[in-house]
Amino acid sequence: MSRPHRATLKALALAGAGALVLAACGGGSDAASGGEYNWGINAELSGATSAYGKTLQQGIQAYVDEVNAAGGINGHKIKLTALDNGGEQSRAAANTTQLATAHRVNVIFGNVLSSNCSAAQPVAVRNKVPLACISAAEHNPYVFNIGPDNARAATPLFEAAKKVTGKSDPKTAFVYLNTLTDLALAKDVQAKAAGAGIQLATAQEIDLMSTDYSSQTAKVVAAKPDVVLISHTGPGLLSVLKGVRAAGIQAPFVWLDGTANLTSLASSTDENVYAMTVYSLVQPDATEEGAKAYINAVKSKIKDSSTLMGLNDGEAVMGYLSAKAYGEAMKACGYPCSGEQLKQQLEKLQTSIPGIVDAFGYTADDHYPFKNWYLYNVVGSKATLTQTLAAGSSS
Amino acid sequence: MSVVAQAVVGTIVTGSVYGLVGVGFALLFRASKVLSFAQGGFMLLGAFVFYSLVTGGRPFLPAVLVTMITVAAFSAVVYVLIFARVAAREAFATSVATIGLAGVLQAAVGIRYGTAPLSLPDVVSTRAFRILGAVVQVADIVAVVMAVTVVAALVLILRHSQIGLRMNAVADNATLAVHLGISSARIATVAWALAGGTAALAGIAFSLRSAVDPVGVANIGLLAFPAIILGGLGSVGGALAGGLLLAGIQNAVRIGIGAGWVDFVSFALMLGFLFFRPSGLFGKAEVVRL
Repeated sequence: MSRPHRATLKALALAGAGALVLAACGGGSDAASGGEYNWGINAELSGATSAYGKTLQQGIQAYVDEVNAAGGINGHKIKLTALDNGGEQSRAAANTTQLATAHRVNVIFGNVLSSNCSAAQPVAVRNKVPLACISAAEHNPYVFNIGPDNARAATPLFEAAKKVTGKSDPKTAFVYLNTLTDLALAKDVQAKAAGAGIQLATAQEIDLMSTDYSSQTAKVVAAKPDVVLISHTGPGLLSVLKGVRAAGIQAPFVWLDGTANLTSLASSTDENVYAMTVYSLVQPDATEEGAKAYINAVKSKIKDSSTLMGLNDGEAVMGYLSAKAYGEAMKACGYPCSGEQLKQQLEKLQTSIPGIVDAFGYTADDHYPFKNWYLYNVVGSKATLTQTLAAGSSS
Repeated sequence: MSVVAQAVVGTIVTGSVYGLVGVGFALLFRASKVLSFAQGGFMLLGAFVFYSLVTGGRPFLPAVLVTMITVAAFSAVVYVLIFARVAAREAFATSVATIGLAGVLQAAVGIRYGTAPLSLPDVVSTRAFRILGAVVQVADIVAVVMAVTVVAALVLILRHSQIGLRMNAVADNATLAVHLGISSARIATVAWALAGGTAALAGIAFSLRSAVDPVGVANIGLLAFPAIILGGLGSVGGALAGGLLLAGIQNAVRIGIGAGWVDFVSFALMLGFLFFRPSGLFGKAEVVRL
C-alpha cells in the first residue's frame, strides 16, 4: 500500500473516531446539527388524551415559529421534532430514545400522562436530556414539571373554599379522580383539612372509567356541604354538578385544574362554579405584553382564537409559556447548549410572562415552576379572576 | 337523598344506556354471528351529530330523530360497501374488521370535532323529581324511556313483522334460511342499520347526563361487553336485562367495596359467565348435532 493511501486511511480513521466520540457524548448536544437548536416533543398526539397533547404541541410550535421569525435564539433557529406516543408508555420510552439519539435534541416537551413521563425518565437520564413533563409523579434530576401538580394543591384548595363561601370553617365535600397525583392530593386533603379549619364532610373517589357517579353524588348531597372541591375531568365535573344541583344543593364548586377542560363549561349557566389554574387565563382583549404575544403567536394555529375558550383550550397556553421560558434558559446557555448545560440553566431560571404567569422558575431542589394558583369564576364562556393563591407545597 | 335509592336510579339509567348499546350487539350477532367492536364508534358518531344539531339550534326531538336516522343509514351503507364483502368470508374476519371500523370512526370524529369533551346546552328540562328519596332528572328519564321504547319496539318487530321473522330465521339457521329464499345480506343490512341507530341513541342518552365525551363513550362501549355476555349475546331483551344487572352490580361494588373494584368485578364476572354459562342469562345455548 502506498503512503498517500495510508495517509487517507489514517485521516478516515481519525474522522471516524471523532464521529464516534461525538456520538458517545450522547444526545442533548446540538453541536452537530448544523447551527440549529434541536427541541423535541413526545406527546399524546393520538388517542384518548390527544386533545391535551395536540394543544400542547400547538402552543410550543407557536413559540418556535415566533422566535424563528425573529431570527432565533442567539442567532440560531429552533428545529422542533414532534413524535406521538399515543398515550402508551412503551412508545413514550421509544420516542425519548429516538429524540435523544437520532435527533440529538437538548430538551423534550410533552407527556401529558405521568405514567408516560415515568416511562421516559430512564432514557432521559441516560442521555442527559431534560424532560419537560405536563404531569410528573416522581422527582428526578432530569424531569421538570411544566403543568400543575395537583399533589401540592390541598392548601390552595382550602383557601379557595374559604374565599368562595366567605366562611373560615366551611363544611366541605371533596371529589377526586384515582390518578397518582390525585390520590396524593386526597391523602393530603384528609391529613391537613382539620388543621386548616376545614370540616371535611366527605371525600369521594371516582374512577376515570366510571360510567355512573350516582352513589358518590348522593354521598356529596347527603353531606350538605357549604362547598364542593373537585379534581376530575370536565365530564366528571358536569355529572357531579348536575346531580348535586338537581338535589337542590347550590353550594359553590371549586374545580381544581379545570382549565385544561374549560370547554366543558362552555354551555354552563351555573354562576357558582370556580376553576383553579396555574396561569392567568388569556382574555381575547388582553393588553399585557406576554398575553398579547401569545395571542399573536397562536391566532393562525388554533381554532376560535378570538374567544376565551379557544385561547385557553387544553394545554396551548402551557405549551407556549413553557417553551418561552425554556427559550430564555437557552439564551443564557449559549450555543451549542447540551442537555446537561440546559438542565443547569433551567435550575437557575426565574422569569415572568406578563399576563400569563407572574413567576415561573426552577431551583436545583424544586423542579416545579409555578408559584400561584389563580381562582376564576366561570360562567359559560366568561371567566372572572376571583383570587390569586400561593402554590402550596407537596407533602 | 338516600345513597341506596340514588344508586338504584343510577343503576336503571346506566343500565339503560348499556342496554341501548347492547341491543345493537345482539342484533348483529343474531344476523351474522358477528361480534361488533364498532358500536362504541357509532355511539360516538351519534353523540357528535346530535351535538352539531342542537348547538345549531335544532329542537331536541327532531335532533334525536335526525341523528338516529343518519347514523342508521351510515351504518347500513358501511355494511353494504365494505362489510358485505368481508362477511362473505367468515364472521371472525368481520368481527376483526369492526375493530378497524371503530378506529376509523373515532379518528374521523376526532378530526371533525376534536377529542376534547364538549358540553351540551340544556336541550331537555333541568327539572328534577324526588322519588322514594332519590333525585331523578329529566335527562335520566329520557335515557330510560329511550331504552325501554327501543327494546319494546325491537321485540315487537322481531316477533310480529315479516322482517323480524326473517331475522329470527337467519338467527336460528342462516343456511336453511337462505335455502328458503331469505336474503341474508338484506337481513344483515337491516341489522346494521338498527344497530347503528340504537348506538346513536345510546350516545345521546349518555351525553345528556354529562358531556359529549369521547373517553366516556369509549368506556360505555367497553363495559357493554360484560353486559351483553351477562344478558346473552343473541337476546335483545337480554341486552337490556344484562345492562341493568351489570349496572346494579357495579353500584353495589362501588358502595360496598370501593370504586377501584368496579372494573375488576365487571370483567371477572364476564369471564365467569363465558366459562360457566356462555349463552348468558337469556341467550339460547347452541346445540350442535354430530
